[in-house]
Amino acid sequence: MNYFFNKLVFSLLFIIFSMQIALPFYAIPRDLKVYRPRWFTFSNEVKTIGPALQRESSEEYTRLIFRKIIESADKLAKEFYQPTENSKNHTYYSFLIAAMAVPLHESSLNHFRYTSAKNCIDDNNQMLHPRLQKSAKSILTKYYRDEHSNTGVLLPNCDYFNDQDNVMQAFSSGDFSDYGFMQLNSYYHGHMLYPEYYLNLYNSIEYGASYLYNAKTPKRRGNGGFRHIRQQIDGEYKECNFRENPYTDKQGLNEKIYYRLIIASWDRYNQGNHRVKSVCRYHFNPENKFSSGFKRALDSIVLNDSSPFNKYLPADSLERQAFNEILHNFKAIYNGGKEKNTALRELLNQTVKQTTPEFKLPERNRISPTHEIAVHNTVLYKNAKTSLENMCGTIDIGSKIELKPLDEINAFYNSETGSIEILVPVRVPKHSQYTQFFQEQPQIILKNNNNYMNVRSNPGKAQESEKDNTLFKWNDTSLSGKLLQKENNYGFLEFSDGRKGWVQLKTTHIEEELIKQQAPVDCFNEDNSFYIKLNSLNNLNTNLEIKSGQIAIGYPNVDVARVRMTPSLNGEDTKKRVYANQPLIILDSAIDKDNRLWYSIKTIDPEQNSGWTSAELISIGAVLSE
Amino acid sequence: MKKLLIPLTLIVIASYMFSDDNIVIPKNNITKLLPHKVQRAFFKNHVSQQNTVTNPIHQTAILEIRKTTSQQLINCLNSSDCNLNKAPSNKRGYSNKELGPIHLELEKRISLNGDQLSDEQLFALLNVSNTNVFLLSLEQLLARDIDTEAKSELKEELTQQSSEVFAQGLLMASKFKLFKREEAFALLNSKAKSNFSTAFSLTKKLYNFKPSRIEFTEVANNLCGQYGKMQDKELFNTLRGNLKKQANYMNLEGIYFCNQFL
Repeated sequence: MNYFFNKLVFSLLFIIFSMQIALPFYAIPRDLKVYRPRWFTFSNEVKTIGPALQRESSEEYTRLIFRKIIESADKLAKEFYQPTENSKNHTYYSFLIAAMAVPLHESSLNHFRYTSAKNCIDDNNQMLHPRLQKSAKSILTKYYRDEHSNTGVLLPNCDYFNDQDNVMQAFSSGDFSDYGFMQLNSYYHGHMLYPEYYLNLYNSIEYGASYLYNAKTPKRRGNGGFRHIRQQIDGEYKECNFRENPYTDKQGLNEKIYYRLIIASWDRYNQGNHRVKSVCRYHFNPENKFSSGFKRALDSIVLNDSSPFNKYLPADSLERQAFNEILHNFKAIYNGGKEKNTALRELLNQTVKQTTPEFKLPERNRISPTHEIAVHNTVLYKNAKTSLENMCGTIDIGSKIELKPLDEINAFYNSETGSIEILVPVRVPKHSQYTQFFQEQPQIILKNNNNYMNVRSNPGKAQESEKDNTLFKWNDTSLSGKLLQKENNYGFLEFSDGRKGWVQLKTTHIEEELIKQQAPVDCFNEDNSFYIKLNSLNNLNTNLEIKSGQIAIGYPNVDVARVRMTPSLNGEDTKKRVYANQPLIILDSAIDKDNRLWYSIKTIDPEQNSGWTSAELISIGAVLSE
Repeated sequence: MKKLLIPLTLIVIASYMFSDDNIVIPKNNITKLLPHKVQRAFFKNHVSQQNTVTNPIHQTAILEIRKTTSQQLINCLNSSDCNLNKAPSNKRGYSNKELGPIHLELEKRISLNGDQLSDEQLFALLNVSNTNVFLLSLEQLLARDIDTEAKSELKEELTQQSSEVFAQGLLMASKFKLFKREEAFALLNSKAKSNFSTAFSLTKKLYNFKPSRIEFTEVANNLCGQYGKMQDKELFNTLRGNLKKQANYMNLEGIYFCNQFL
């Protein structure tokens, strides 16, 4: 009996002992617990940015974290988002889920904690721990332990905290190799330890999400992130067999790849290379302890409803609704169902409002009073929304109409195009021969049933090398077509049955009728003012200067200007360019340590690239705010 | 009971090993560091303004360049047998064409003193497997008055690129008029057919190529022919979405793309 008792106790103790060792590696708790890592303790003068565990409530902490993750992920994966009704957007929603699952697995959503000063560890703060790696140690010492620096010592010895109750700590992994919320390695991502990231949780999240998406670091080109893997599932990573789906046994041709895509992206993130062997790790060995560990984190979100997101997002919050929509849309890949995105779009719209400054013209209107409209068919809108029903008319190419910009410039997020649009209210001269209003726009009708017109896919007959471009024969006189655009002798019609196509205009078979009833009645006002897109304005030819805090429109005065992440020549190159005469909006200005002036810019084109560029390369066209 | 001693001892040791809070910190001789010199103002101005919630543009990555790397590079560029493509050995044993931190030095050198580099050196730099170094060198060469032979060599180098680098490079080369307009669109069309990610990158930049309706239609037809039957409909629709967005920006109605108007 004694033997069996001993055996039993021994077994139990063995299990407990094994769990002590195994827990940190294999079973990271799916909760907002503070667990095993090494913590660095910052002096109370350091102002950290972002929520901290045990300072904010779990609900508030999760809400703020969730919001930032989704904002960052949306910005990256937006290129896969199609706002049309029949789009499935599986890739987009998969990335939003991936962006939540990765930090949940990596750090259990830890970054800062606000805790008792007794938890300060001298070995950590003094950089004495034997496991502290050289790369991290040199950065930490430089930025946080250099008494001769501008900032002084930010990680003081622990007896400095003797008279304090609580302190702020930031964390690293147990072996001091990975740091912060996204647990990125200090050798390859050393800048994550710079104050801009380590003390700013929001920046950490943004960079981590970006690394997950495109695998790019400031030092390396990078390849094989989520974006690349998604494009190569039937190519480079065919061996991963993404089309085998463990999430559900429901079969579907394209719907099966996403669960594995998320795991493969993390496998790449975790191993830092995009070899097939690494990306396909889970496929080759589903029992792999690392991949299966991540899978548990993923499942806690999408299958088990047990993640902190499921648990702590406040029930009545916009964030909870957006989270539910994301989950619904991810599950809809497998179970069917329509996309839901009302709360998610609202949440992202709020962000745009927060991050897009208000545009107000100064009292003395400093926009050059005359502009030449050069963009073909500049559309006139009745208000600051670019939807179809708000369209009032167009101005033709080449017109030299004087437009007077009015009070307020509006910037808004267009969820249909997924981009920020900037609209300028302008006064259009009355009776301009170049302005066409839809009231005056003709509807085309067929004269009689004996004739017919070929409706084509392109303006003009098919070239010899092409197939016949006839879409259908128009021989029904009850069918009429609204003229949407003209191109030489052809018109692009929207027919009353919803079909569209090009027809030859100057023939005896058709005639034009004016359709006045279709124009919006509220298009016209006393001023004859309308809204036009900012990029419809051209030749901004006044040369102005701006002060800090002002917003302006400008354009490069050189062939090409580079866009950088930081306002300095040494700043990270975003690999984006702006070219001569390409209009851009100037959001901010800054002076670097060499006393050079820099502008924070955003291009006005579908890509909407943003960053910093040297002020020497930019001419100001119009100042939009005092 | 003696048998329990070993596991118990192990548990005690393990609990000390895996708990930070229980580590006994030896008294060390390091004198307490000087009292704080933290300047509130610094953090107020420097860090708090980096808050991406209010302005994401402020995020920064301060890049440090080591003097030794710089000197090595300069020596290399000045020597006749400088081989920038030499792959550094990798402890994991697979080939890594990336140059790592040396890229930063190259970028800095081309950005600040690019005009001091010879055409030959810049052509050599085009072969360094790094996006930024390639684009910067290309930019330098495009701005120079190079001869016809060098121009064709440059075209050749550009044609060998793919994806984002090619799209960015072609746009830059077009702005600098390295290609005639029809030449640029012919290259765009042929490269867009070569692989999907190149097509994807190119379609996102069409607006900046300022295509006419005919040119846009040709690109659309070409892409439809190449990718219209791809099995992965979601990727294909993303391509369509890109084209549609560009067409919207150009106010181009009625561009026909694979059985539908954009």
